[in-house]
Amino acid sequence: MRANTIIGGMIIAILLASVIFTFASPILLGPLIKFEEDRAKVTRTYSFTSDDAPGVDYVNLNFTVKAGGIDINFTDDSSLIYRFVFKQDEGATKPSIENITVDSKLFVNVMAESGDVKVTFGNNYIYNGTLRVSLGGITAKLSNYSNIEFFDLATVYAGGVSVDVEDDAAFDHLNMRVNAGGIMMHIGAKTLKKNSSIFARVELGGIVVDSIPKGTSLGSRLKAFADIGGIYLNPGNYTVISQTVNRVEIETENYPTAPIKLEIEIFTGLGGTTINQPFFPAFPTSFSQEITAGYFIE
Amino acid sequence: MENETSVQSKPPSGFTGFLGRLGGTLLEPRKTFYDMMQREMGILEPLFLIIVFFGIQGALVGVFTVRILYSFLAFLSPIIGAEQLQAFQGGLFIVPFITAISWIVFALMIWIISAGITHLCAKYIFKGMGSYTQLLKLYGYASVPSSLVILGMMLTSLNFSIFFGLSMILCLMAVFWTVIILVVAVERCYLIDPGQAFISSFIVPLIVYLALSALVGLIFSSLVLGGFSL
Repeated sequence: MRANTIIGGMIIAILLASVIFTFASPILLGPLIKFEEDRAKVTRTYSFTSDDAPGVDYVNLNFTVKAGGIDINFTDDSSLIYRFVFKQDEGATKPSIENITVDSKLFVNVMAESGDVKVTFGNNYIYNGTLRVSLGGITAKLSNYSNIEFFDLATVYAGGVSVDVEDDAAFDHLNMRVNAGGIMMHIGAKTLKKNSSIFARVELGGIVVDSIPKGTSLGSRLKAFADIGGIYLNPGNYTVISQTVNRVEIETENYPTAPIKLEIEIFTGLGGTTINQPFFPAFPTSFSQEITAGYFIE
Repeated sequence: MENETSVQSKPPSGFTGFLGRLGGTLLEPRKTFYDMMQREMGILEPLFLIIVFFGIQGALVGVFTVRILYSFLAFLSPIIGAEQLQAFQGGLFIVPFITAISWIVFALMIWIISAGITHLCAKYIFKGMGSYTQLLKLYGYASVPSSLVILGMMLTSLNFSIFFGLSMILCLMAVFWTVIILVVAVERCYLIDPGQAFISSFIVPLIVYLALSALVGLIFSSLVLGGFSL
């Protein structure tokens, strides 16, 4: 019954996603066949370095793209505060960027109507703020050059968020929100620089956590809750603290003693969550006489 | 006569029960159909499923068509003029609604006709004991695997070259799964063996539809080419 409800939730999620897709795709994706003149794109690059804002050590972002994508990366360039590379259709409104310095803090407000933007941050500043797309996707790769206090990655209406956490990434808290769509988490890190937490929330759709970190110095704990739908968990070597149809809590064996801890909390409103296992379920399992034989007594 | 005894607990009601029936149709069709027959489900839920699943498929086909037409609009501008082009472009938004309604009407017709052909075969050739209404209800749930087709259509629409192959696989899975569900529905409804159920639900309707297509083809060719002789 539990698997049936989860699959049923996934079917409803597909249906609702397809309704949103039906309305959004002609506007967002445009013509199916793109001829040469349709492909004309304009690239705009905005950079801010330590020379532009001396004395700054903290960056607060308020970044909005209405339709499109944000790709976040970190580099070892210690003088770089940010570099935004926008790729937009010809004729699209230019993004507006505002930099305000208060003491040692830099407040960056970015607003773009459409387009894809590659965001690159340096390794010498503490980053904090909200990056959101109304319709589209956000990808973030947190490498060992990252230094995040708090990031809120949000898809306001529909789309997805994908996060890749690598070894020695540094962040206090990472928040991910998607209204309709999905969140994908790949946490390949065996070590993190400090205690960290991740919260992911999807109102309608799914969350995939393909693995949970298991390092010697890093202990992880994951709590998942699905309101309508279910959670597919492959417990593997993790310690299962509790597991019901729509609630799961697991941790790594070394969690109580590990010097650095990662807390993951995920919430799905309507849909499914898969933890530590492939996304697609198996083919029908009950089309066999054996099961029916146990079900009907002749 | 087969003596059936339920060993299941009371199935959940409300939305969770609905989700369970959707998933159960895919994963445990026998058990799910048995539960439905025991509870004497109404016709509204299967009707709703057909309208939703095929309405969405039709709308996605319409959107796909609109996006193909969009690609060629630039070439039409010098021919029909900018104003007419703008009006035509605005009018294109009606296409998904038309295709959605067409798909729903077509699906409802196929639903009623297929269940009718199957009923005649299972009831009068194989001497089954079910009713047409009961089969119609169970047949409505055979639309559930088309969620894979919908997923495939969305992926193809996102990126044709990357997802076309995967979409074809999803469509094949959906067809295969639908046939399984139809066979189970007939088997449960009429209490006949799976082979007879397969003939009633798949082979006979297929033959009837092929014969009808051939007949329509012949009539059409006679009209276009000016006659045919047997």
